[in-house]
This record gives sequence, structure tokens and C-alpha cells, in this order.
Amino acid sequence: MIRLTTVSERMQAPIESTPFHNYVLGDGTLWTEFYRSDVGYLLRFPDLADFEVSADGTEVIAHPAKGTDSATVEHLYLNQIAPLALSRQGQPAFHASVVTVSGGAVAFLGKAGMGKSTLAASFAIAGAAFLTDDSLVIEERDGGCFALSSHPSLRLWQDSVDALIGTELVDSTQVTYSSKARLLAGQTLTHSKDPVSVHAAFVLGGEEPEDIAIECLSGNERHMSWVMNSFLLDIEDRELLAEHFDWTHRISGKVPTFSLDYARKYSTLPQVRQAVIDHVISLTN
Amino acid sequence: MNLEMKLTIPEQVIFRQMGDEMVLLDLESGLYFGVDGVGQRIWETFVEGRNLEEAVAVVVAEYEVEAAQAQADVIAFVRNLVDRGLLTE
Repeated sequence: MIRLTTVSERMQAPIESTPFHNYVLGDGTLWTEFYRSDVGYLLRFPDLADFEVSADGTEVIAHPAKGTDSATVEHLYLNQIAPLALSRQGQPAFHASVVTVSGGAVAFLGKAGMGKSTLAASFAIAGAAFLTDDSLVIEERDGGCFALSSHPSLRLWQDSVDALIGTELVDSTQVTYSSKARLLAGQTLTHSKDPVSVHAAFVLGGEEPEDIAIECLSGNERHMSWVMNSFLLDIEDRELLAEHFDWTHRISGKVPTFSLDYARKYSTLPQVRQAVIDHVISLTN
Repeated sequence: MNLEMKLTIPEQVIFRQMGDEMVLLDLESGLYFGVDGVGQRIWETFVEGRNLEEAVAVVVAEYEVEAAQAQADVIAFVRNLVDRGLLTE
């Protein structure tokens, strides 16, 4: 549980200390700076917002920068801050979209730009409910791993919206920093609110073979796939790193994890869906 | 490298087995390393507290390799781990 407080907007004053970590986007844009603060951490999204996160990850104070709207703050909180804060509470969170297939959850792990949201949207439009667009929180219980539901929205580039949804009416909102549309779940995009046992995970790779390729990963590859796609707020906290090493080891041991490569063409998505469904069914039989 | 030397795994290095492979994490640097096959078997001998000579003997006994070759390979592997701070002499 995290308590979020949003205060009035303010100028982003320079910070004297040096960030201990940062996220840089693929095009070189600085996305997030991580600072230590008296209360725990301060995460800065330049020109968008600052978020103070308590050391135990239970309290977050959002400080929007001048001109940042509430939808953007909410989106940054849900997709970036909340999963990072949860890592301070010992709750594993990963960069993944999740849909339901054959009564179980199927996760698509991958870096930004790999097509997680597009694939999840494709499933959701075809009637397979999605649980999350980009932050998979896993709860371990009863010897299994359960995917928790996140905000009922998917973020897609306009060309994906045009190709997948066309002119159908879907509720959407826009955020300040991206031209991606944020589509809300409804009749077109079905969303599941309940936790679902994770039956399989697929790591979306950068390869684009002519034929859809689903490969078994070795033990180390499985483990590292979960490590590399984790949300982890403090990468210098040795205790947390050790705990995280154990989470990812346990999860990669419980969740069958595969690589999934396919040509990124909208026309291939129905075949990709079918290949995933067939693969998951073969695992459960 | 003294064959009777016992090599120890530093406190900041943790490791987990996954099938027939091993992932090591150096908590100091935050770097991960993968070890598999013979390397994993050699690592296990150090976990069991054996020395370099015993590690070579395990490799000779379990893999089809001459003693001299096994010794050279084990030493090269161990030097690599020591250089990376994953083992201490």
C-alpha cells in the first residue's frame, strides 16, 4: 500500500547533490534522476514532476512542475513511481504487460519500444482481458505467482490505435510528455481487476524473424530476463539487491519463461496471438 | 597459483542455481555473472570448501580431460574469477 499526496505545482529548482542513478531513454533523453533525500528518495522527471518517496516506499509526495497536468502526474505515478516504491516494500515489480490466456496470466516482458502494449492491446481487443500495460506487480502466495491488476488503461502510439482499433470509440486521455494515447478499458479493451496466476512469461526480443520464434531460455537467461526487466528503486542498497536476487530467482523458477521474436507488423499480430495461445495451452496440458 | 590454496567466496558475492547453471551477483558492484557447465562444477567445489588441487581432481574425475589440461583450465578460470572479485585467494 502506498499513500500518494499531490501538492501544488512548483518550479524544479536545481538540486545540489549528484543523482545516484538515472534513466536515459533510447534517444538519449534524460528521463529520470534518482537522488537521496532526508525522507528517502527524490525522483525527478525533468520539466514534468518531482516525487518524494519515503525510505520504506509507503509514502509518496508528488510535486508537479509548472504546466504539468494531473493526468501526467497520475500516469508517472502509476507506471514509474508506484512500482519503484513497491520495490522498497519488498514487492517485486517488472516491466511487462499482462493478458489472460486460458484462465491464466501471460506476461510480456521487455524494454520500452519492444511492443508490449501493442501486443497486450491486440489480445485485449480479441477478448483476452489485460491486467496491466507496463508494470507487473507479482504477489507470491500458495506456492504460485499472481499478477496483480493495474490501472485499466493502455498507452499506444497513434499508428497502433489506427491499426488495431480504427475508428471505434474508446475513451482516452493524453499525457504531457508523450504523444501516445492512453486508452481506457471498456467494451473494446477488456480489463481484469482480479489477481491471476501467472502461467507463462515471454521476453520480447529485438529480433524480427520471418517466422514467429518462441524459444526456451536457459536457467541463467530466465533469471536474468526477470532481473533486467525489474523495477528497483535503490540499486546501491545491498540488502535490497540481495532480496531482489532471491525474488527473481524464485519467480524465474516458478514461471515458465520464453523468448518471443516476431516481425513487428500489425498484420502478423493474429498469428503471434495464436502462437502464444497454443504455446501456453501446450504447457498446461 | 598455489594448488593447495583455498579460495573463498567473498561475503558480497551471492549466487543461485537455476537448473544446470548458476547466476552470481556481486553486491558491491551490482554486476551479475553467469556460470555453467564445468565452470559451475568448479564453483561448487569452492562452495564445498575444497582447494584448487581438489577442484582439478573433480574436473579430471568427472570430465574427459587430461590432468595437465584440467589444471591449466581451472587455473585460468579461477584467475578470471579472482580478477573480477568473485573469489579471493
